Amino acid sequence: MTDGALGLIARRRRDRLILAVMAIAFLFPLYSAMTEALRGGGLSNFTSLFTRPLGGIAIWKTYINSLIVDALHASIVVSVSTMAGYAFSKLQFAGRNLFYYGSILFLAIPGTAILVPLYYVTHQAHLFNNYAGVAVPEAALTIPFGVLLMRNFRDNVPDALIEAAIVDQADHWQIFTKVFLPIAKPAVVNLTVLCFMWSLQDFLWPVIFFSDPKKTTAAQAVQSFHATLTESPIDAARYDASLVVLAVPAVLLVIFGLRFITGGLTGGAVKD
Amino acid sequence: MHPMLRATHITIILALLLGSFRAFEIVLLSTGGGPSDNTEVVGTYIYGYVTSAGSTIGFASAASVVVLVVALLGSAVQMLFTRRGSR
Repeated sequence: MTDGALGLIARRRRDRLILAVMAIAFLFPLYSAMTEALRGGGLSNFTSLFTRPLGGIAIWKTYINSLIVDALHASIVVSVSTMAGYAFSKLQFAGRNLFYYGSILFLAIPGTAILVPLYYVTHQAHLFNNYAGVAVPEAALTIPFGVLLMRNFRDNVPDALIEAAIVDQADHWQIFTKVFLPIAKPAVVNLTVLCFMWSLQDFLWPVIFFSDPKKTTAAQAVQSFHATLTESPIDAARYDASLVVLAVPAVLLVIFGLRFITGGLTGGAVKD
Repeated sequence: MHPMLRATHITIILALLLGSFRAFEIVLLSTGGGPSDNTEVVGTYIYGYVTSAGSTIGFASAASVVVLVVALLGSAVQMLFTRRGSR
């Protein structure tokens, strides 16, 4: 095709140019966030965030709250999605596709659409200012994606392995834990990282269900900061600095999580 | 195109198309649905009625039901198309 006209080196150079342009485009928000955050006070914008709590919220405490919600959310989603993914891809039962597409349908349900009934349920269950009160609705909204991800991974788990395990008289739990899960590890890690990221970014449920400042999550803190800071340039810079600080865990997660994802994707179990 | 990536493509396309129905935080924090109601999405629309004062909770609930129905129908249609395309 057209590639034939170009030499190998020219093609590589062209690809590198395209990648470089895209990288610059994607890095620009990071650059502008940093310059805005350093405006005025410089690095002291950052240090003052940790020494002077904004609106009665210590910034490190919001991380711990986010981490607890994250962990709860991720563990619910991963355990349910992997089991559902296994059932939907490797088990034969009546209504399999119906249930599968039924759960995928809920990919489009916005959190706000279930806000009113959920508020009532949370009230009845006394889950206000409880980590589970935020993590469980989050998980309910993430599970459709988890099921989709785990089931689409099914081609990477060869039926031959499952059949071999059945011949060896393994029960479903053994097949799931000893055959399916180890091979599906990249997808599981992928899902876990995404769960952490989405939970970290989640704003709606903490705002609705956490009224106690002690429970404020990192994403929620952004708005609390916004409310307590004034319009002065130095406070605007501090606000931007707080945004950068709040983004750090997510960036770290992606940097370290990505290694696991790409590292595991190339492995296969059966060589044809 | 890229037959080996089919499953990955289906995952991404479905998740993004259907997930865009869930847009909320970015809209609420950047424009808040304004100016007037030009950038209002279903998320911010309902949120506005839930958090506003007065007895608008019934209206918010009604809007939620409409959104649920539309979202479910929308994803059913999208799913039919993606399924046909993948076979």
